[in-house]
Amino acid sequence: MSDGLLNVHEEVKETFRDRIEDNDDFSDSLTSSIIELSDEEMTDSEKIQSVVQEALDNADS
Amino acid sequence: MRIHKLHIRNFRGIRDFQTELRRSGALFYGPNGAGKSSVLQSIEFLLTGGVRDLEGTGTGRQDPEKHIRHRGVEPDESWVEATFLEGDEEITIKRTVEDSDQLECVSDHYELPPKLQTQRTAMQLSQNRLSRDEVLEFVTTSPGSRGEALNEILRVQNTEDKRKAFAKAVRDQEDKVESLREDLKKQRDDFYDALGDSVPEATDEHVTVDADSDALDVINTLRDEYGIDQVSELDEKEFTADITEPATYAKSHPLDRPDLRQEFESIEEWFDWEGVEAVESHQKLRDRIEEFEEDEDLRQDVRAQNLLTQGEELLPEFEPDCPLCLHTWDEATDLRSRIQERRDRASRAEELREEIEDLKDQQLSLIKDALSAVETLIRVFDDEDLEAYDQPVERWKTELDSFESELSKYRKQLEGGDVLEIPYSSLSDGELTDKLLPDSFEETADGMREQWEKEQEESEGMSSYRVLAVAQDRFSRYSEIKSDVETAQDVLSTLETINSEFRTARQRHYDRNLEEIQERFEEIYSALHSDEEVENFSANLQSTKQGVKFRTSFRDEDTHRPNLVYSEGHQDSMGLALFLAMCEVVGGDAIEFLLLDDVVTSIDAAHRSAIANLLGNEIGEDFQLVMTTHDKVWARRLRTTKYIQNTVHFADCTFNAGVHHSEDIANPWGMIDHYLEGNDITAAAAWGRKTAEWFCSKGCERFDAELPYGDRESLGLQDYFDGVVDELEDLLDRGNVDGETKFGEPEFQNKREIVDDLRRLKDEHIWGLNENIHYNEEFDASYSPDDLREDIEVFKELYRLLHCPDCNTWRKDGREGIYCRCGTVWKT
Repeated sequence: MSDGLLNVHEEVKETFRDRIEDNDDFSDSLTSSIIELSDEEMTDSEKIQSVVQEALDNADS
Repeated sequence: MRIHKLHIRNFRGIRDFQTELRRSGALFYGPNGAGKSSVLQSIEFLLTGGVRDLEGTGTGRQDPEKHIRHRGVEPDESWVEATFLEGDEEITIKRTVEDSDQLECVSDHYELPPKLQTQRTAMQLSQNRLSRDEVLEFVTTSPGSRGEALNEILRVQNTEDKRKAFAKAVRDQEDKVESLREDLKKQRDDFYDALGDSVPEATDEHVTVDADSDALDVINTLRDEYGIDQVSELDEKEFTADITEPATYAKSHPLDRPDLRQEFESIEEWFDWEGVEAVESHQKLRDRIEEFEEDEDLRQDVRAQNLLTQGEELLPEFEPDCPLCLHTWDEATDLRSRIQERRDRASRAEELREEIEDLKDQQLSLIKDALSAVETLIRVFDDEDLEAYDQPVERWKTELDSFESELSKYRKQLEGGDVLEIPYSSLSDGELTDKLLPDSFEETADGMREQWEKEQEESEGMSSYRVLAVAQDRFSRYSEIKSDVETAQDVLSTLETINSEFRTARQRHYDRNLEEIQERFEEIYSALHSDEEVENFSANLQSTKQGVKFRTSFRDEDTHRPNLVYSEGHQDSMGLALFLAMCEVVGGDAIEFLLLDDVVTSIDAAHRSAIANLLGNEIGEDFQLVMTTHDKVWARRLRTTKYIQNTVHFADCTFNAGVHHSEDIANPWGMIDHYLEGNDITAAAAWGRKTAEWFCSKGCERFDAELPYGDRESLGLQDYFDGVVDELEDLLDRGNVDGETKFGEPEFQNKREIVDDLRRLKDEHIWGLNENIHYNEEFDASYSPDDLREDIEVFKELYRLLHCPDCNTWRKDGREGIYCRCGTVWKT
């Protein structure tokens, strides 16, 4: 965060990532897949679905 | 860290433009297309490497760089350079279009100071830039897009896009789970059907399978026929485990085809109702065609329809020229409306035409299944003993073929638009029924079915195995989908949690900020509309699951969507007030300057005045304002405020010359006094020179003085000074005063002496200003404040001669001499 400027997008994203990391129900791989979503990917519902699907598939295999 | 100097070269319409901004900013005014917005875009480009207005949707995916640089100029010749100032710290940065990803520190800095970095981040987030387009979008957008326009003003669109994407991911996954569940149910029903349909034949028992326990019973009954152990649960799936496939099972007999059941059912349906419906539909079709035959008006309407369609197609292509003779046709619009009226009158013909199409389609659809079934039966029974059924089957098929061919031909004619050319069948209902629903074939079909069923019974030994095999196959498919449903459900639960976490994170920040923005918005908006009934004005800005909700009061206790109760002008000022409130809340002390690009559009003069007061006397204290406007009156009003003193007039913009601009200084001597009082000789001398250049150029313009031929951009103080003083000398030499002139004899002579002195003192005084401006060299000013004050006083005398201190207007040569609003100053 730069010098007192309130960057709502970054703050919401950071808080969101913290909450995902604190969620014990999620596996490590699922957690890292979600928090590594880029800004652009977070606005793409299909990408979000596929990332979660893939992470769960990998956890099962 | 505020903008101190700006130098723009070959950027958009600007060829070369330099300006020095005051601490409180600058106002660029002029007509549309003069290049004002380009100045603001240049600052955006300098800090971010892009220009938002040239990116995104509606730009044809063209490379923005192509439109950033001045046309015909190489990318390395197009650049923006600015010096930012914070106390004593000064940093100059530059960005060229050629290396638009690279921000170059021209001054001796390894990296951007944090405060400048903050301005850059704010610019990337558009938190310090508002354009007219955004305000217009907020005011005029369609109801379905108001939320997005509000998000844009509050600069939360990106977060809202994420909220929508997470929510949509959940909804899509819910749809996927639902779809899989429906598929699962179908597969389960198919599995039960496989068991239920076959069991009566295989076991002579009537069993209804509607639960797994029933299915297990049937499976074990079938397994019992083979003397094999029972299975204990469906999940074992291996229903045929330990069962040896019967050796007799071979597709040796042509009728050993269980799938023929479907064909016989199709034939049965045709004779039960489909055929009857086809005949009835055919009768309706005859009636419709007959209606056409008998009604000449309808026939004319149909012909007109074709012509009207052609006319409608031709009009846009040829308008305003006649498509036949290509002469200009003044009444094309009238013709269009007359065509529409004619089309309306001919609507019954169009309805009939569509009805005929539908009836033909319906008949074709009905006949398709029957025809397919009889073809299959002919093929299968041909191997067995078709001769026994030959005549009725072939005859019926021929009739069906003929009918289908007739319908297809008509359909084709309809597609070609020839509804009037369709002959209607001469067959009566009874004749058609005999052809399409012959008793002889129905009896034959029954016989064929009996033979097929007999053949099926003969292979009864196969039934148990076949039922189990089909059931196992279907159960296997069902199990796969069941697994897919469970996986999809896991994904859905995870997505719901992720969505919930994002909503919580978003809500946490929104709750805090939106309340502050709402309070500040109420203050700003109430201040802008203090003359109206806004005493109890209140707003509600809150975050919901569906987005940010914005409501305002309107003369009652309720809250309303602003667009439903407020005028465009009021909404316009709401958009600006929301943006300014957002800047103050999210920017705090961090945002130093705001770029406002012609943001006042639908607002009346009184409220523009209120906005000028707010910006120039209040907001300008906290932010350096860099603004544009095309409204000269509003620009004048802004210049009367405390913080908007520096205005630049963009007169026009031509391709070769670029922008033609001139700088207006609202309080020319105030700045010099300010710096002299602060003992800042360098700044005072710089402002002295700038001021002298400004009013001398203005004087040349007003007195039509001769200037050296050449590029207007290269003229300087020396040229303007010489031009205006030469002209004044001449005008004073030729001049005289009398009782009607503003100047009396003593004052006139005094002015002549001043101009003579100016000529003599010119070099000394211009040099005095130059010498004390540092430019790029490090040395102290040689003048004391009093020295410089003396020089400035000389220029001030010249200014007073050019600009009337009484009526505050520029003097001009014309009428009977030199005049201003006060009257004739002296005669020539």
